[in-house]
Amino acid sequence: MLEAITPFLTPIVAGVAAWIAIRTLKLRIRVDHADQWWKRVQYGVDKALESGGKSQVVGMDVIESLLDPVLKPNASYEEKVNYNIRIKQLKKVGWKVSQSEKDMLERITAKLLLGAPQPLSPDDLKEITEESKMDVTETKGGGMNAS
Amino acid sequence: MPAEDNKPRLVQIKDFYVVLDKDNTPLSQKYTMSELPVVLEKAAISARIIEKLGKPSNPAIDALLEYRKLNKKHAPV
Repeated sequence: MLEAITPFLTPIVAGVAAWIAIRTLKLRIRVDHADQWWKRVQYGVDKALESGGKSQVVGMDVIESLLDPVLKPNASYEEKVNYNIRIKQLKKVGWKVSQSEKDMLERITAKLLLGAPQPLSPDDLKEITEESKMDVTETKGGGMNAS
Repeated sequence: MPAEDNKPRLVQIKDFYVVLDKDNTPLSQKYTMSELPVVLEKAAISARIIEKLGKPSNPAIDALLEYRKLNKKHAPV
């Protein structure tokens, strides 16, 4: 009985093994892609944290370039086709960035730019108030001149 | 009070700049005059990053962009 099945079983087993190997390879490619993507993001964040102003701009530029392209509302037909091809390629080899990872990237971006706000001193606040008073006076003066 | 007055704004106080909300609460660190061009350039990139992430815009970053738009003298880095 087994002797009769063996000739048919061998290609089936070989086919399943090949299918598993291809799936593993595809998964490995995606994992490596995601790993490299995060390494580049990390490089961008490190660069953005450096003390030089130009390094910071380069770092944030790196982060921006690693995010998926956004299709403009008024994109041409060619742009739409190119965008769809790119998205399909990304879906094949790419790794979905989760919502929590997106939230984290947004927080990092804001933190890199806005830093840690500190309360203003009473002198500084007084200066702002005086500036506002000046604005009001100027507006009133302007109104009188206009009439 | 017009809606414009409720939006955060970039204000110069003495020798530094800071983003303040309508109650004069700082929303950013203090930036020196020399830091400002880099900060405004970074604000433009940040706004694009936030857009690509599909997130709503950050009012403090919008204030920097508004200032950048109105003050073209701050050349890109």
